[in-house]
Amino acid sequence: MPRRLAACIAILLLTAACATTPKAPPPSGQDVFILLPDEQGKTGSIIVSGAGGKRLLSEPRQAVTVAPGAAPGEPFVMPREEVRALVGPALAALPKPPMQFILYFKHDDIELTNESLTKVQEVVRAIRERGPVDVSVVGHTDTVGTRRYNFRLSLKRARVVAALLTEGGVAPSILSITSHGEDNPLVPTGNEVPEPRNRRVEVTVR
Amino acid sequence: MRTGPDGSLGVILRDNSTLSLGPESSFVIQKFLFSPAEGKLGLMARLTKGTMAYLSGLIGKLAPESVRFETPTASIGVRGTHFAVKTGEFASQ
Repeated sequence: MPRRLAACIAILLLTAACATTPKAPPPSGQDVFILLPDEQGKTGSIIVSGAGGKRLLSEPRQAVTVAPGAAPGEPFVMPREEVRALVGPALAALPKPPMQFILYFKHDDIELTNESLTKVQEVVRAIRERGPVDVSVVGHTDTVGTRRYNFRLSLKRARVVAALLTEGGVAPSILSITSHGEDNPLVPTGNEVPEPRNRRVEVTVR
Repeated sequence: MRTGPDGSLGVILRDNSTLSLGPESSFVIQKFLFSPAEGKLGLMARLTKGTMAYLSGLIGKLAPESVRFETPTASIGVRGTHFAVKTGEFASQ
């Protein structure tokens, strides 16, 4: 069935489902698939394929049940309370997507640019708000200088950022510090090329 | 991955996909490929029991057709999205 046609049918059935009262929980033996909006409120779509049939879900909280060996049933919009009752603990356990911050340094230096120094507070705030279990701090350099020298320089840069985060109240035990030297540039360049965007520390908050 | 009666579990994959299991769940990641530079991307997983939720990451964005989830009754193709599944548990109890 062409996808566009499937979408139309799903929406028609959805209208029909809305007109009736919510159903009782699905009988045992059936799997339930529920499409949900993401944190920004955007809803994607999924195609559920069972034996001999498929359904497109594209509306927030649109759901479909599938019995063993059968085609998926008619999609319907599931009330919030029913979503919570069925999959609440799984949804509560879903980690927040990681956040990444990039802090830039002055040339051949372990001093942050003024703009990035200000940004450190933003990173600290984000870490506090998320209550994360893991923060990786990865140092980088541009390609000016030897690989060996740059490996050390980017390690020092990572340590500077880690120290600033710790000063801001982040527990050292959740920080992991790594150095990539000149090998992992944000902007690929030839050797011995000064590139401010590669003189950086990347902080990933998970 | 398995969870007990009071258990739940959350995972962040290397492409920043997140997924989680509710109590009494059993889940297998059959394939995870993430080398964007070489164009190698893929995620295949199977929920045999219990509940799960998923929020797509970079693989879902770059190659949604390579993301596939299965349950005892059906399979799901993803178009960059967030969803949850509950299986009909009778099979494994």
